[in-house]
Amino acid sequence: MNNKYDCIIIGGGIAGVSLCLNLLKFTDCNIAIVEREDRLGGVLNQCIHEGFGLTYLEKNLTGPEYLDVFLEQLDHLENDRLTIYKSTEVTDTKKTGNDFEIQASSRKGFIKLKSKAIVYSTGCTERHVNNLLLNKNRVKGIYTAGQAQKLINLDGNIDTFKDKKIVIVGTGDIGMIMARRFIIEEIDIKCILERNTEISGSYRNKVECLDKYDVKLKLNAEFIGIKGKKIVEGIYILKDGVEEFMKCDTIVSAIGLVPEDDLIIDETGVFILGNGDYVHDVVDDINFEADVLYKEINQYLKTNTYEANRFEQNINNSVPEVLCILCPKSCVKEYGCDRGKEMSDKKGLYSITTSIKVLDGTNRRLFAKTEVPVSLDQRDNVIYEIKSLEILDYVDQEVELGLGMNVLLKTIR
Amino acid sequence: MKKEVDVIIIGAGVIGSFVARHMMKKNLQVIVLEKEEDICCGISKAHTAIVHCGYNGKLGAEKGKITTRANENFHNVCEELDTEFIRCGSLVTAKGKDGIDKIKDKIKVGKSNGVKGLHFLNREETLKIEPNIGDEIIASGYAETTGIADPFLYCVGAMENAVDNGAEVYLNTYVRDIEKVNDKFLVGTNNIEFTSKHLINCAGLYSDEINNLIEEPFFEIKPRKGEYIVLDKDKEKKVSHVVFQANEKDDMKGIIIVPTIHGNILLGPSAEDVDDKSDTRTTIESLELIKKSCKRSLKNLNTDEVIATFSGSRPRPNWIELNEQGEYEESEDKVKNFIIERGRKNKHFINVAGIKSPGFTCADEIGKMVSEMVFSDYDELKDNIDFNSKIRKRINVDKLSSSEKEKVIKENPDYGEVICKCNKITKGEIIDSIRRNVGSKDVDGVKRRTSALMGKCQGSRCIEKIEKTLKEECSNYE
Repeated sequence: MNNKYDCIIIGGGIAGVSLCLNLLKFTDCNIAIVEREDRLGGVLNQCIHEGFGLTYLEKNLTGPEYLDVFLEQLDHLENDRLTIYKSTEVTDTKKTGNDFEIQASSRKGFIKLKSKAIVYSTGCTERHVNNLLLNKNRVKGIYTAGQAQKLINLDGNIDTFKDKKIVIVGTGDIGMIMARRFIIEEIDIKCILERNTEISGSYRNKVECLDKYDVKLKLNAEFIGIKGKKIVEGIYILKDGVEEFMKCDTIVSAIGLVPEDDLIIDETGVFILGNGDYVHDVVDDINFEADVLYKEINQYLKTNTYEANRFEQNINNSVPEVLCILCPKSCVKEYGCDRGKEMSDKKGLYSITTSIKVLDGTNRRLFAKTEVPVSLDQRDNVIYEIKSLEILDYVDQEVELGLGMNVLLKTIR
Repeated sequence: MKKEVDVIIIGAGVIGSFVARHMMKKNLQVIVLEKEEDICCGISKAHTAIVHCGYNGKLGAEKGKITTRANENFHNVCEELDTEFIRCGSLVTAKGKDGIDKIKDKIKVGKSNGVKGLHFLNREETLKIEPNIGDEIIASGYAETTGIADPFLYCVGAMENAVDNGAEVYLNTYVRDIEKVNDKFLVGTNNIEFTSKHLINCAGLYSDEINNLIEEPFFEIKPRKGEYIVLDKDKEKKVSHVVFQANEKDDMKGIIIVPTIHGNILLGPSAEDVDDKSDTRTTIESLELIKKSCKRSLKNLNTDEVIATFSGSRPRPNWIELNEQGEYEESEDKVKNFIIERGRKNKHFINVAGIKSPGFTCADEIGKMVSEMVFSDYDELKDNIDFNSKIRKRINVDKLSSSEKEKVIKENPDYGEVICKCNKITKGEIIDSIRRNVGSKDVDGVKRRTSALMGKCQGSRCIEKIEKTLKEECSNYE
C-alpha cells in the first residue's frame, strides 16, 4: 500500500469532510482522512436539533441532515483519490524534510502516513467540572453536556438520566440545547446556572430552549461547590453574594470548549480548520472557511508558498432585544426576510426534534423531527404522540401523528 | 469461617504493599486486609510522588538515613516493578537570608546522611538549570538525586508482586476487633475471621485505632489535609525540577511544584489540620492560595490550565500519655521518626505508623525492615525458593517504538484501539490492568493503573467505553 498523500486531513468532522469535498472537486490532489470514530461527521451526528445551514445552505436543518448533504456528495464523487481511515487514532505528527509523517493506530494495526500538507480539523473538547476550583470531593454524577448528548442521542442510553434531578452549569449553547432535550425526554431540570449577567450561548437558544420550555435560568449565580462524599447530593451557588444550596443528583456542564490542539505542530504546510482552530458559533462558518482554505492548500502544494491561514474569529455578540431568532443574523427591529415574518405569525417553535427507541430488541434509536414547526400550545401533545409511536423497523420513514402532522424518522448514518 | 495464616498485614497502601512484598521472600503465609474496595487508596493515592534525596528531618535522625538509602536503590525497585522513575533533581528556593540559612542546614543534614550531589546555587546558577524561576528567588539548594515516580503503579506493582509470590489480599474487609488467644491473634472483620502469629499494623491514618484494639494507646494520628492542583501537560517544559520553597516567613508552608511522571505539573499540598480522617474535600480558598504561592516560585506558570484538583490527609503522629485525670493527652515530646516498633505487650504485633513524608520514598526500605523483624522471630525459616522480585512487564503502547507498536498491535488488536484520547491509553492496556493480580475492579482502579481518564477531558470522552470493557472482563461488574 502506498501511504503517501498530497494532503492528510486529521479529523473527519464537518470541517474535514467539507474541505475534502473542495479538494476533490476543484484540485487534483490525493487525500487521506483519518477519523478516530467509526463514522464520519463528528459531533454533528449527535446534534439532532435544528438550526444548521441557515446561512450556508439557506435551509434550517438538523445536524444529521446538514451532515448528509455533504456526506452524500462524498459518496457520489470519484474516490480513487481519497482514502478514509476510520476508527484510527493519530498518535503523533511530525515533519521530516519536506514531508509530514503521521503515526496512527487502529485495531488493524499501526500505520505511518506521509504527506506534503497536513490539515488539523480536530474539533474541540469540552471543559469538565473537575477543571474548576471548587469546594468538593471526587463525586460521581458529573457529565459534560456533549457527553450527555452522545449518551442520549447516539448510544440510546436515556436510562442514565431517568428519574434524575439535574442542574446544568453554564449557559453554553450545548447546555441550553440539552436542557430542552432532557425536558422532551421528561427528565427533571432543576435549573440552568450562569455566573455572568448574560447567557454565554446564543440568544436564539435562550428563547428556543429555555424560555419556550420554561427552564429556570439563574444568572449571576456562581457555582462554588458540590455536596456529597461519593455521589452528587446537591450544589452550592453564590447568588448575588449569598450562598445557596440546591438539591440535585446530577450535574451537567456547559462551561466552555477548548480547541483540540495537542497534536498541532508549528511548521510550513500545516493548516488548521474549524473548531480545532477556534470555537465557531455556527457550523456554517466552518463551511465558508473550507471553501477558501482548499485554495491555499492547493497553492501550497503547487508552489510551496505559504500564506497565513488563520481566520478572523467571528464573534457574534448576542443582542438581548433581538426580534427574530430564525437565523444568526438575529434581526433586531424588523424582519430581514419572509421566512422571519412567516415564523412570527405562527408564534411557533422550531420543529420538535427527539429520538425514539426502535422496538426490534436492539438499543437503536431513530431521530425524529416534525415535518412542520409546532406551535407552543401543541407542543406537549406532539411530544407525547411521538413518544407513543411503536416503530418496529430501523429504517428512514415518515409516520403520521394523530394530530394531522407528519414526523420524519431517520436512521443514524 | 476462619482463616489461619502466619502473617496478617492490616492496610494495603504503599507501606502494606511493600511489607507484603518483602514478607514473601520466606516461606510464610501472608494475607493483607484492606477496608477499601481497592488497594492504594488513602494517602497512597493522594501525594506528590516525590522521591526525596535524604536531607529531611533533623541532623542525625534515622528518617534521613533511611531516605538516603531508599533513594539510592529506588531505580532498582522501579525496574523490578516495571514502573517509571525519573531522577529530575530538586531545588529548594530561598527569597531571603532566612531561606538561605534553611538551605544550608538542609545541605548539612543531607551530607551527614551521605546524600550525594547537593549544591548551593546562587540566582544565576539556579536560572541556568530552571530558567522560569521566580524573580524573588535569590538562591536555591539543588539536590541532584531527587526524583519523581508513579504513585499508583509503585504501590500497585509491589502488591501485585506480593500476590504473584503467594500473598492474598482481602478487599472491603475492615478490622473490627483483635484478640490474643494462645499466642495467636484473632482478627474479627466484617468479612471472615482470621488468625495469625504476626500482626502488622500498616493502617495509615487509622493505625492508632488499630493499635488501640490490642495495645495501650501511646500515639495518636492527626490528619493533616493537603490539597493539590493538577495542571495540563507541560508541553513547553516550563519546569524540569521539583521546586520546593524554603519555608520562609511569608511562604505557604510546604507548597511544591512537581513535574509529574505523566508529564503534568502538580501544585501543592496545602496543610490544614482537620478532625475528620475521611475529609478529602478541596476548598476554593486553599486552591487559590496554592496558585498564588506557586506563581511566585515559577514565572510563566499558567495556573488556568487546571485539569483536576484533589486532596489527601497525611498521617501526623503525636505521642500521647495519661495525665493526672486519667485522660490521654499529647506529649511534649515530638515524633521525629517513623513509628516502627513491636507492641509493648505483644511482641508479634508490629506498628508501622505515622508514615508521613518521605514515607513513599522509604516504603521499600520499611518493607524490608519490618519483614526482617518478623523473620527474626523464627528459629528456622525456609526461603521461598520460587520468589521472583519482578512483575510481568506492562505494555505502554504510547512509549513504544514504531516497530514495537506494529508488533504488539499485530499480536493483539486491543493494543491498537485507543480508548483514552487524552493520554492515549489503549483497550489492551485497560484489559491488562484488569487481568493482573489485584487488578482494576472499577473505573477508578483503571484510572490509577493506566492513567486513562486523568487527562483534560476527565473521562467525559471515554468513561462509557471503559465501563463497557470492565463489564466484558468482570462478570460481577455493576
